[in-house]
Amino acid sequence: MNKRVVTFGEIMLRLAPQGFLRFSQANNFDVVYGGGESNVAVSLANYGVPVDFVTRLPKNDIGECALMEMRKRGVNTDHIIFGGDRLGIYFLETGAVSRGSKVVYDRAHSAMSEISAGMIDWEKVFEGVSWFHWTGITPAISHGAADACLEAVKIASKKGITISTDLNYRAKLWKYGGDREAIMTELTSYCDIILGNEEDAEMHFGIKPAGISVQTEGHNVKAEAFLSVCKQMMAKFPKARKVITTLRGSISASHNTWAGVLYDGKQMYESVQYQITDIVDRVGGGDSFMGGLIYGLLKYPEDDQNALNFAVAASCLKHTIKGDANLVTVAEVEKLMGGDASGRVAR
Amino acid sequence: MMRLSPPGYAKFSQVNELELAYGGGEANVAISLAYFGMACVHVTRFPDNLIGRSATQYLRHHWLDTSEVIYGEGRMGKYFIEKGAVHRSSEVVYERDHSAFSLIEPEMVNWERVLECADWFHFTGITPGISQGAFDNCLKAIEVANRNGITVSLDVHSRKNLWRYGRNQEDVLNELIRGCDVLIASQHDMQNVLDIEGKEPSFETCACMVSSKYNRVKKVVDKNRESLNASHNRVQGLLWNGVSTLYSSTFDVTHIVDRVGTGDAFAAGLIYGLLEYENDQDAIDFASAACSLKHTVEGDANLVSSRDVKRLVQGNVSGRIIR
Repeated sequence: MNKRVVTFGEIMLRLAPQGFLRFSQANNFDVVYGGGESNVAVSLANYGVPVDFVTRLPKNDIGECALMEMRKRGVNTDHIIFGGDRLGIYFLETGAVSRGSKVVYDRAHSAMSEISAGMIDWEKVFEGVSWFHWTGITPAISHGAADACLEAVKIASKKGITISTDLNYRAKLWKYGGDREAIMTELTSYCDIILGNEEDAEMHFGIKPAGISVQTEGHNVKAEAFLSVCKQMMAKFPKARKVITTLRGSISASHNTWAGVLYDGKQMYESVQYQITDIVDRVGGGDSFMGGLIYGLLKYPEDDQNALNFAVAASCLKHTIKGDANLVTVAEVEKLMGGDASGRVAR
Repeated sequence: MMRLSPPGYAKFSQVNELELAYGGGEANVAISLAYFGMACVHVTRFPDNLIGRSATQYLRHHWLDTSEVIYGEGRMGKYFIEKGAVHRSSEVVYERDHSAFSLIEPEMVNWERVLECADWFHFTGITPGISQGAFDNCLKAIEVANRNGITVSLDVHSRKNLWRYGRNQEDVLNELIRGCDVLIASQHDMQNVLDIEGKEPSFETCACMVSSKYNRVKKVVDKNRESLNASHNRVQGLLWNGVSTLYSSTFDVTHIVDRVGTGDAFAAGLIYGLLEYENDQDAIDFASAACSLKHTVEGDANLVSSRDVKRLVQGNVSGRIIR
């Protein structure tokens, strides 16, 4: 594929107790590097899409390890800038059944949070680029990150680059006092492709699915209920060409259902619903959906149903992979899309 | 190759788990140079499957340019290593027959393109010992490098368990050394190609004879290793530059963490030293200090920066915490 994609955001050090240990039991942490936008970049690199990840890293060994992880996965890191004192950290305790996973952030004063507009040469970053992706996490970090993100979408939009966002509402962020709804509304207004989960549109913009409460009916998310969400989003953001929602039915921390809907302003496409009966690691599920969706829309520009199916199948597989990023190939995703969910050993 | 080893100092007969890494003489040199800040391309051939792709990711993770890696049939060569301590030696078992690399052919690699912007080409005596195709690739690379004025270095590195495809080491080396500018070789290695009978001549005598027989060879380099036991070695580098033999100071490695790949770390240090410094003494000091530091790093490759090495060259052996 010759379309080049850029993603922009924060990559963090993830420290997680091994297996299902609680924080209070652990003497060791497993090390992973990840973040919403870098996870999307890794997905795309696995599918053979040329992709750049842009961020700001501290110039120390830990920042370097994060960069090395991106390089290892085949993501181009030439536009990463350096400065600041630390890499953000998040601690993850993996839940099971009725014990939910827990995340503790330790990301204040990270190199990325201290970014400001003007530090990244977006004109240069966007040379020869077809697609720019950001998420709702970046403007939630700091004023500077929100400004840098706005600068990026403005330049990308001027250059006619397709812009996508994953709304990614994070209750524990937005601490710096920015007006969340106003900032998200402005940034999202530049987007061609808007992805959210069951709650994102409600949390950011107060747009609710008609007739259900996600929190209390989380195990039974109905696709058709989200048509109203998609329509309201399209009305609010006239530039948007497609609004997509992931539909996670959280039966328990170990068993989810997984599906998606895509609305293009005229028609609502629905995917099949997968039963993910034994989750290995669900962190990065939405990112892997976005990675699959970008690939799908680039690969099948005239076939939204196929693009959606690819995204859902790709992210379904992510739930079986340890770590933040989805380490699957196109062939593996297509095998699941083709209906082979047997999980038989491939010899 | 894929490297599989029991954790810590466990013996194979004790373990249920093996640690996984990738390594090989030339890749180790490239990784070490990359950690010194140099741009390095590693050329190899991997199986076209998830193992080959993981090996590529490993190389890329450690800063190498993998755009010239080729893929095809065959398997990943493997080696198993059980780490020794004190009086118990480390043991290595190879499983590298029929590897994807052994099936490499000269037309698979575009050496003109690979070497287009290169300043240096390095290989070891292991590669020509693997297969005719691997040997032919070495010859082709040397020919292109010589024609384009690129410095060629060979770490002779004899390995008895190779050379099973019908060529013998002496004849092959004879052909290869002809195209080399820098040779890393022991007296023993040189005696094999020089055909010297009788008692052991000195390193300097051998080096003189090698460079008069192969007049492209300008520098011959070796290291003295005193193996007090598996946990305690002393290393010193020596470099003959056509005028005299220069010695580095002796580094006392009293508590070895992992000595595999220390020769490769030495070669990388030498290449860096010769490219960075005017003075051969500085180059051999850098090489020996780099080699010494590798003994403290787990795995095949020397993951230290040039600053770490320079600190040791300047005599800071304290190992104090850098805060």
